[in-house]
Amino acid sequence: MDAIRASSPFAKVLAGLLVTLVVGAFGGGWVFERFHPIPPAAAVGVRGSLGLAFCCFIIFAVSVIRILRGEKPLDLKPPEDANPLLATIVAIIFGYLIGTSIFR
Amino acid sequence: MKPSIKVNPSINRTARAIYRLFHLASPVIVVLVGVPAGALVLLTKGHEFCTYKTEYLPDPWLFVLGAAAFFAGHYVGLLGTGHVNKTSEASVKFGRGVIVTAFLVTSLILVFEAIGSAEIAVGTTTPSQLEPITYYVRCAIEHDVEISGLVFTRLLIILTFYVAGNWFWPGRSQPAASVPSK
Repeated sequence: MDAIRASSPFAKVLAGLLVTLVVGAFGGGWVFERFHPIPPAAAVGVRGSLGLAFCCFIIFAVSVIRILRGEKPLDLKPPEDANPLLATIVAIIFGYLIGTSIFR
Repeated sequence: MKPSIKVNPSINRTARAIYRLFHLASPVIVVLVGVPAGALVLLTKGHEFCTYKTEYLPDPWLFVLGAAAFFAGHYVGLLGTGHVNKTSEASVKFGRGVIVTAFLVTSLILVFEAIGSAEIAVGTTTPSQLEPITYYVRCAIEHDVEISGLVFTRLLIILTFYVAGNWFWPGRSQPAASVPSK
């Protein structure tokens, strides 16, 4: 718990989104299966899309709540001391890996 | 590391005005290229079911092209303005509204993607009621290979990612009140 408290706000946001992604993939997948079967060949694509959808929805919901409270939306900017070029390249690589694994 | 922008005095007013015009018009140019390209596909190919070849996507070279255009949009923006972007209360509110809306729309699109992926008839040549988004993209690229030899695809990727880098990755911004007027 101390390690979580000591981590930077950006690291907390990333960790939170990772948890949200997993919850969305498995929890969302479970709900999805109540209405529609998930073919085994499309399991990664369907669950991955649901995980990302849940992430985006949580960012939307948290941002709306923060804006209504008069605060800034959820801050997804990398830390000020991070190299912006490096951060962008890492984001592009991450996006490529997600894109090629989920959106096949 | 904060990005530092040095004001280049050699950039004259005319060049800045031309850049400003292109900056404002660039999203419209994407539409002006995309709509005729889509109409051309529709007129020449109709709604026929597409049996695409899987090697068109994922295509690392199209991805690299988009990434290069994204960076170009950002750095052309830095060179073109030559001054700090001014933010106002209204522009901050508008920016927040756009970001929040984008995440909501993206989440809905991804749910559609999940349904489309679950619906896909693997290994068949008959269309499902819904398909994953990539199906439509693959088909558009497949058709464009026949229509223009990928010219429209490359042009739209360059324009779209240029606009994204130019508009969504701005240079240094400060409140308008703290920026000295010229």
